[in-house]
Amino acid sequence: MAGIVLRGVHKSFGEVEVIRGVDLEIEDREFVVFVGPSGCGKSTMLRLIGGLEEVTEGQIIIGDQDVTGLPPAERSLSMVFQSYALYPHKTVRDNMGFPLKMAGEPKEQVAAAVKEAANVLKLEPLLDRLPKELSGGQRQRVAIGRSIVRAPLAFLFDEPLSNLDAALRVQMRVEIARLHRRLRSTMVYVTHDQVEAMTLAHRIVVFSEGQIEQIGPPLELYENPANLFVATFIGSPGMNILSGKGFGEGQFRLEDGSGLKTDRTLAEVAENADQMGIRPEHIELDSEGPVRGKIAVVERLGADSFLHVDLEAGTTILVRQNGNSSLEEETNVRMRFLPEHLHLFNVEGKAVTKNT
Amino acid sequence: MTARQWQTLLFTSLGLGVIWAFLIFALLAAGLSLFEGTGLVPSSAQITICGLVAGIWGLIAIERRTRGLIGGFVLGISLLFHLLATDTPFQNSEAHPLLQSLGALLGAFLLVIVLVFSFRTLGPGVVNRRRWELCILSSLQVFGFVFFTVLVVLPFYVMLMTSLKSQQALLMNPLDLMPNWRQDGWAIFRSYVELFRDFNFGRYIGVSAIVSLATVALTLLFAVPGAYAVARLRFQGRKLLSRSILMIYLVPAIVLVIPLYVIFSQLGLRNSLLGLLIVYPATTLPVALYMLQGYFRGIPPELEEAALMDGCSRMVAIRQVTMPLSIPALASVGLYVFMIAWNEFLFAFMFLDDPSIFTLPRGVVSLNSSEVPRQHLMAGAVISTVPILILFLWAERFLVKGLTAGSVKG
Repeated sequence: MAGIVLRGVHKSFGEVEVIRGVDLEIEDREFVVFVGPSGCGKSTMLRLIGGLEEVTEGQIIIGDQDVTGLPPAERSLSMVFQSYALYPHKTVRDNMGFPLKMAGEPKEQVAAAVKEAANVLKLEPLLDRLPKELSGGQRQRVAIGRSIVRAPLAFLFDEPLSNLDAALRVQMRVEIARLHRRLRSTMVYVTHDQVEAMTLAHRIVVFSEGQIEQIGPPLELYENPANLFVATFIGSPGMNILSGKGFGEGQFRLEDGSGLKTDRTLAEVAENADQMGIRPEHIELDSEGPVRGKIAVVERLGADSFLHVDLEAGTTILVRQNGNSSLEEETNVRMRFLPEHLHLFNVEGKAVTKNT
Repeated sequence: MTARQWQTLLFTSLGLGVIWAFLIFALLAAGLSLFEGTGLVPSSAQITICGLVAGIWGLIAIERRTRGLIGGFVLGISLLFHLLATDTPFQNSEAHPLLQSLGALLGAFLLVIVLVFSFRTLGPGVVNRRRWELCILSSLQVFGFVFFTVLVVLPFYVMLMTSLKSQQALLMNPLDLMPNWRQDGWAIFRSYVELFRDFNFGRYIGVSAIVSLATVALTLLFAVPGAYAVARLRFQGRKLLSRSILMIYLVPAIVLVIPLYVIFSQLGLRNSLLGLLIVYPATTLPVALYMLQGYFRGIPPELEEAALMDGCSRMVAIRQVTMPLSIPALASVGLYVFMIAWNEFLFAFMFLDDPSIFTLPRGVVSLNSSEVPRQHLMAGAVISTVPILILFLWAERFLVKGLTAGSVKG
């Protein structure tokens, strides 16, 4: 078990700079999830930690050893790939035992470790099969099994569940959470799936264009996004963003002229604000509410409903209601934005600091 | 159906009937001639009329869907073939008449089978363009099959039969390829015995085997790392290298052979197997590189990366993961290179003067220089062909594809 420290890591492929200076400290036994849109560098970052790519500049430290120049084999990490990457010519048993065999462990010890891992992952009946004889979920389980047999310093997961179908994904997600509780080891997990990030992570690292936008526990990111990018990226469906202008006394005026009272009372803070964000679940329908709109589309998902409401200024916002909404399309509604959940952003997209 | 469609149908069935009648009876006549040792030539009127009748029958069969009459029509057409002949069915009374009748029956049978196969997509009812095209395509399919079979089988047949004949029999009637089966014991194989006993063929086989195997080993030794580098590693000029690999084939061997002859003579490499072992891998490497790099590209890089993470160095990862998965490619490249080296003639002919280091092709051609009879030449050809044949049948099991199935989600 060991923590991982990244210091000023840069990575370029030829002219293209993919990672532009990343500093991060991952603590021992921590579960860290990298999220970001495709092409943001999160997978490259993981491969840099694993040693599959060499850093252009900067330092990677695992435990108390600087591994920047070391090949992957000497970093004592395990990686689970999106495509499973099982050795097709080896049985499940040999696949799982391979890292130990390479480490030169005696046969009995390899067999014992494989047996234990197979027991944890319920793979015992499959040990003598070839990868092509397994289903997708079983293959991913074998890949995880291969990574745990040799008790690495840390686990790296590269979108491990993306190739599974929805039901299996939920199941494997829970299994990975259990695995982490059982092994209590450092895990770095790359995904583009909101739910995986929110449910698995101790801390989420949001990447964008090769840089870290924000680091923090899932709910911290959800409730206090540091900037517009994180605000819109975290949460599904995403946060509504409306342009307007902040006034003194914590007032914010939307483009259509409707004024909103925020709980940010300091006038100078509110005056900075250029854009306002509000999550769909923080909007209430209220016949006295200051914001007017007309329902364009109603989506009823069973547990909750989403109303797409056209505002007079032309933008459309999303409102979440519990249960099945009885409202019909083309209805005029008035809304109230819960002031304690309003997010304000300045011209650069940075959050206007909470100050209550 | 419109008149126009009837017209199409009529022309198609009559046309295919006549074309196939010519093809089948010509092939049968050639086959019988080789068998009987005398020329059998049925008249074209005979064939044309049989073909027309078969075509019309096909047309009726399409409309009525009467498959039950096949037997009757086979008999009918073979009878017609007999009646139209002025002599025996294949117009040559020297050959066995019963055999000719059997030939006519076989011909009629094949004709009807092919036409039924081709026409099965037509009718009954409206003949549209798609059905008509399917009919023509089925016919072409059978034609392709027959054509390539004849192309492959006939020379081999002539080669094998000639090698089993005696000098006198060949001189008496060059067309008669049937060897005399009623000889004592192994006498029929006397050409082979003589080749091994008097003409040193055992040694030639040995030399050829050594040269070919060494060529395979050398080629793979250079091609595997080369192809791997081009397929996997990023370096300056990689694209240029991978594209220029096949450029060497732009230069014909005949252009290279003279300069190489001069250079190798100077270096004392000309009349030696070492010389051949320099030239052969050089000529086979481009194709080997090309084939292997394509295969290496098809192996998911994640597999090697997984091995790297599991504690292998790159070399070990290649040996443990990439190589076992490449066995089919290595086998086919090896087989291909072996075949090229085994059959290579030009350089062997130019370079080798010493009979003790002749390769098989060089040995076979050396038979031609004296008054060695044709059956020896053919026996030599058989000797040099059969090992390749056996090798292919044996190695086929290694060429199984799809070994990477199940490793990564595709």
